[in-house]
Amino acid sequence: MNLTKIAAVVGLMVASSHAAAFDFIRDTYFVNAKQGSELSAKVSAFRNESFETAGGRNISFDKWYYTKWTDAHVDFITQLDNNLGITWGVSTGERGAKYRIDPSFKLGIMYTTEVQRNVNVSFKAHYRFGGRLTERPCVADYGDVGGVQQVNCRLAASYLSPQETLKYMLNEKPSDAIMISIQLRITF
Amino acid sequence: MISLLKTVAGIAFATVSAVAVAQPSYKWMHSDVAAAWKQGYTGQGVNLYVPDLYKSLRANGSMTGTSGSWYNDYHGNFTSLQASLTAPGARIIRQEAGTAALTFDRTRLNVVNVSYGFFASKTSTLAAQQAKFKATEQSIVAAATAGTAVVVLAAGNDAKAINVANHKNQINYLTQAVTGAQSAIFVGALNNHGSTTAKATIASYSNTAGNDPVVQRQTLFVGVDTKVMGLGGTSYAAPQVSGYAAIIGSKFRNATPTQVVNQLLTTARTDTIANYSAAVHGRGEASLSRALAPTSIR
Repeated sequence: MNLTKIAAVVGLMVASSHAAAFDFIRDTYFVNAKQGSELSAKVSAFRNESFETAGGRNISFDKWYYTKWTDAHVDFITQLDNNLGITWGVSTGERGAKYRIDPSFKLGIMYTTEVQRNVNVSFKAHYRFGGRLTERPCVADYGDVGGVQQVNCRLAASYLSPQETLKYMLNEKPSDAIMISIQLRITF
Repeated sequence: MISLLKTVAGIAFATVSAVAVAQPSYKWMHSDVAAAWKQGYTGQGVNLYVPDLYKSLRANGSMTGTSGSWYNDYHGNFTSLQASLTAPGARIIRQEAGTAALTFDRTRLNVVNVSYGFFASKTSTLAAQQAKFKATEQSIVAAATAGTAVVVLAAGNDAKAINVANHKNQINYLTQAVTGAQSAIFVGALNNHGSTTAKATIASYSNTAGNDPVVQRQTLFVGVDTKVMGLGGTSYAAPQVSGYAAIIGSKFRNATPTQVVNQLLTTARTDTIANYSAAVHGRGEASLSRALAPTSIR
């Protein structure tokens, strides 16, 4: 079974470029495109939150975590031979006033072989470069009791000391930064 | 609110170590305190002194249970328990009232809860009565005046203005002695914790701020849920604010007692009290969440 057939089996949309000038273009297939990611969803959940200042003014997190563009991903596979391919993809990242998801580049391999009749083993692995979610602090004025301090925007009104809130600033890799899988497939 | 006309003999010191944070909140607590518990921020690094009566004046109630679990205990055991439940991370220091001077720890924020009074005839004078104060009360007044401790005093249960003679023609000279002191707060009782949609009313027994603008500026109110606790009186309002002060001190670790007091006073809410009036409610209802929030953020 070659890689094209595998792609079809797992429901990958194959949209081969028919340009014949280069093997790379001819043998590269579109796999998937999506907008949104786990990290993007995590940030979007903050947009509905708020707190009140000492004077009772409502501070909505929406303006800090709003983005005009949601992180978009597109993935491809470039077939090297009947059993081996390179998987790769890019993401745009996204940013708001108080956070940033870096753009990323994903690179991996996919190998499949028929070990015996109707029994296939596939190995897939990839590493995503970039794509990290980071958060920027706010500057909060606590008046006489606490002065002006850098603080985690989301936790400014919490019970944590302003310095301590900075320990909880988001700084996360995407959950699919490293992926390794081995799949055994038996067809009856 | 209890009278200390007679000397309370004996000295009793007891230090209660920090209570584990992972415990449920109680119905008499404001929801802000329950939220503090969830985040594990409950007055760490603060000394909370509770001079009170631990050998006389008993009452029936419960800080931790329901009406079916009320029990009889000393006034001081109830007030110190309430303070420790509000701020379980604070170090609670119990001491019999009218005995030795309170010994403050200069390396920590010190909070003193005073749920008792020093009553004498209104025909006497402050100077004459202050001369009769025991070392405990002298140290309380000195701390409030110098700003070395947050001093939280029960407003009193005579349904009169603070510092005005009660029906026995007596005045609480302890509240009078700290009137205008930089780090003293008086706490009156509401029937329940207020909100903008369910505004609270003053408890029938609670003293009010009165017409003295100095007293008005240093008076707060909180809800005292007598139905839940079985206990009524501003004695059970003051420990809640003492706990708030301890929690504020655990967030703002470099804050002075005077700054903590001012934070509580300036962030009090008037929109959660029915028919709010400065002459009745002073600065309004204490708001822990607002006291912990910034004035502005960008």
